[in-house]
Amino acid sequence: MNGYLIGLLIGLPSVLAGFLLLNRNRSLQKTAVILMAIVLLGSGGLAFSVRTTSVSMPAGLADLGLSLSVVANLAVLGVLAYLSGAWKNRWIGGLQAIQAGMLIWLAVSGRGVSQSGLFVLDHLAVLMLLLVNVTGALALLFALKYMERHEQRRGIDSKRSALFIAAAAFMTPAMSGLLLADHLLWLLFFWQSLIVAGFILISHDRTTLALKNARTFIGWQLFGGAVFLAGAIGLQSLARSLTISELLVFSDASLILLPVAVLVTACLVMAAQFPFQAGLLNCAAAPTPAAVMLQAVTLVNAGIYLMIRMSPLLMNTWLAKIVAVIGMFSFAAAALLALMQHDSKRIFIFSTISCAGLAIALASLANLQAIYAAVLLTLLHGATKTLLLLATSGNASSFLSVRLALLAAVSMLMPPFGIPLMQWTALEAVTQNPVALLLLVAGIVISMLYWARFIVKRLETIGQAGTMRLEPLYAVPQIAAAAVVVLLGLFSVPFTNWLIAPVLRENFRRFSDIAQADAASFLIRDWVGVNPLLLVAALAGVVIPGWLVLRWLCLRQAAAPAVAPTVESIGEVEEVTAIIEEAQETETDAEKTSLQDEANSDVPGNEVSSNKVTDTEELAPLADEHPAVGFHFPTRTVLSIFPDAPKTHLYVTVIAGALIILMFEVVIR
Amino acid sequence: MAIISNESAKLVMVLLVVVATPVVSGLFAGLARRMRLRRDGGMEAAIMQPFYDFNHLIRQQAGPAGNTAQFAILLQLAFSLLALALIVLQRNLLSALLLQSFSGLMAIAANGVRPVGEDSLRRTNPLKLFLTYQPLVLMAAAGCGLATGGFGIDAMLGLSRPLIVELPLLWLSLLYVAYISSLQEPDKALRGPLLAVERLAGCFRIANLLMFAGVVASDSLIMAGLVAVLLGYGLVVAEDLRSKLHWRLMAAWGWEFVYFACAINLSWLYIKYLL
Repeated sequence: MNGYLIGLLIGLPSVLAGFLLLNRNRSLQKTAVILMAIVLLGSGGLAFSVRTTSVSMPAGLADLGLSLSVVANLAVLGVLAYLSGAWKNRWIGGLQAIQAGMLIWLAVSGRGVSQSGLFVLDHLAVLMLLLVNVTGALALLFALKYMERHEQRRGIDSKRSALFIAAAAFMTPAMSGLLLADHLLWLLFFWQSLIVAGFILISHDRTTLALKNARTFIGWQLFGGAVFLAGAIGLQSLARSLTISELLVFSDASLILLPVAVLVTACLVMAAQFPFQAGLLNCAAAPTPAAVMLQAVTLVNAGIYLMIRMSPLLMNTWLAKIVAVIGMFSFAAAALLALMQHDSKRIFIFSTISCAGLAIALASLANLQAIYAAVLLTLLHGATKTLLLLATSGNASSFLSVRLALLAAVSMLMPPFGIPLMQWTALEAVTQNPVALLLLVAGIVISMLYWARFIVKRLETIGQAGTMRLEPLYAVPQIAAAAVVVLLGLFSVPFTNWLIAPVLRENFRRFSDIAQADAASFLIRDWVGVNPLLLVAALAGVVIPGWLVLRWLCLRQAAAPAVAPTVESIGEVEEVTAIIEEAQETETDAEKTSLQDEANSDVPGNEVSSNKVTDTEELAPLADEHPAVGFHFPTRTVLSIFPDAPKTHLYVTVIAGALIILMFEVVIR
Repeated sequence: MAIISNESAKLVMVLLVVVATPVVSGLFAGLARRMRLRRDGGMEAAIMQPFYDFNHLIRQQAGPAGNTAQFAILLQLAFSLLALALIVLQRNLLSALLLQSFSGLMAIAANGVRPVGEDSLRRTNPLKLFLTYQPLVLMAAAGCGLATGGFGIDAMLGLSRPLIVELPLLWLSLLYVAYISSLQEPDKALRGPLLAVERLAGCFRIANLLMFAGVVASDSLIMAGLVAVLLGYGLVVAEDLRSKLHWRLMAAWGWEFVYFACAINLSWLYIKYLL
């Protein structure tokens, strides 16, 4: 079963990706992609049902396993060298040569070292697999239609699109391999495979810019790989093991802290943290599915995952403090750079770097909620970024896409959705590190601003959105991603208790207080005192009745007969007199007119007679929005606000439900 | 004084505070206006004048605000109300401040969404104010966290001596934040019931900041409420300074002095508790 499951997660999707590479028939390609999506979702579900399993090399074949992993890595390096033209670029060629040398060194010096680990499926890997398989499947479905249009727009050969789809399809099993790998060299192999696929995706258009971007990407990732191998050499020398599960329970973590610090640096490169962000920034010019794959599905998530996986080794050490500061710096600096951008793709990339920084910093904090928040933030960010990227490309101006993009942006900004709650959870956990705290405060404020700006801009265009229906291959991935975002955000507390709490107990078992504690002691009730469901109920309890009252007041005003101007307010008399006097003293006619209009509009009942109000077109939509409906209190109050009776019932039901939930929560507490 | 422990008593207290906040702030505004008019030799004004004005606003025709602005204004009220409820219930300070921040953000959105906020310069003013005061509030919260090792309001009120002893400069920065928040004027295009709700939300937002300052300065919720009321009165009286202290000047002071003062206070706490 164990081997079959691993084969299903890595092998079958890889075979399908190979088929996509060879196939040129469009309808067969479509069938294969849909089949691939089904396989990914099914295998993710199967992994979820199994939860924990492992595959090890037999003790006698450990050396063979090591040699195999080294050969596999060298083969991928060869493919990379061929694709990137390494011989033309001395940096890329040099990095590949260094990696090849390190690999051979590991193969020679690693004989007799413990090499039993191969693949491990645990709670953390299952959660990440679910994210990767679901978002990967959605991105693939989206890519089918998107690349067809992209081909037509740019006049690209369909063979290259087939290569693009195949590379995108291959990224998901490669990422699954990285998540499941229990041996550092197999992990590196899958990482290098991701780099190969990433290179194909970024260089797809074959323009000078695309090729340059792809080389920059590959250069940074190869640098990360070389750093990773340096860390692996250190671990092999000091801990005599390259198996992650063995390293996590290593008796003296302080002894291996230096090579762990080197591995952490590789994680930072993988997740494009400052100052290693250049590789990811260049994918802004690549087609959208490439951006989804790199930002939301694979590489960035891989960096965060590895960081969370290794966090027990650096907990409560000097390294954890440094990582917290670096992560928070990336969080704040990338947020600031996002605020300065106007192109939405670049905003998304910087927000990805920002969120990854926060997740990495959270993973280094010795705090229960911070660890949970790191895992949940990774999942939430992956799903939300997928939705954002899908909804803002393709038919981005369609009715559905505009609203879903708005939903995704709101979930980045506001509770009850999870991402802002995770940011505030970090605030609670980081108080012991003042530098990280200041960076976090700056990052939170700036993140609020750039998302608020994005939302306001989207809101301004919402009225111009077309009513065009999205094609199923565009609509289905967006709707599915939106469902994941909403459900994960609203049910983040039960989800955490059900699926993330076991991650902590499993991954941090080296700490005796965690290993011996009762499972119930790891459950949480809320995030920094906020339970998303309770918050929804409370917001609904205020906003919905408030909206009803506002509508009633507006309708009442619309239905009321025009009244003669009367002044009840002494304060307003003073204000109006002052404005009129100012108008009399003003020299220009235009200013006079505007000030007198302002004065008139401030007198009750005078709004209609004011030129400023009656002449503008702004009131026209208002008149449509608030037709003069007769007001009959109290018998028809609610129905007069909502002429559509079924809607009224819906709203009343929602209010009642919200209040019941609210009271229920209050009583429970 | 003992911390209120009974849940139902807390809920009653929340309702009382929610009702009392606009009433008290209205009375203070009326009193301050009467004093100002007397001093200037103007007409006599009723103390209840702010309530008449509010009633008048509700009866006025709504301005040309779209659904989004309406929604933002209502969310602004909802977030600030919930923040106040969390402070009175003595829950986590961070959660209250989180909701308070989103109330501030909704205020920006309400003024920034067309057709209300057509004037681009006016749209950026609330944003600049937000940028000035929001980090200060978070720094004050961080100071509380450093001094108490957590963010529970009940723990802060349960200390043997008020937190203000440890956080004098951060406490002053909170007053500064409350003052510059009170300078925030809604968009001119907002009128009628929408302006009334916006004013109400603004009143709760300032009340939250004053309650936070009250929690820092006292050892019980009742005492915190009294301190907040006193500070609120001081804020209304200080409104006379508004013509002299323009928000731009206040924002500049914020960046030049108040941040420096907060950094000194935080550094002191760090040296005392973490080194």
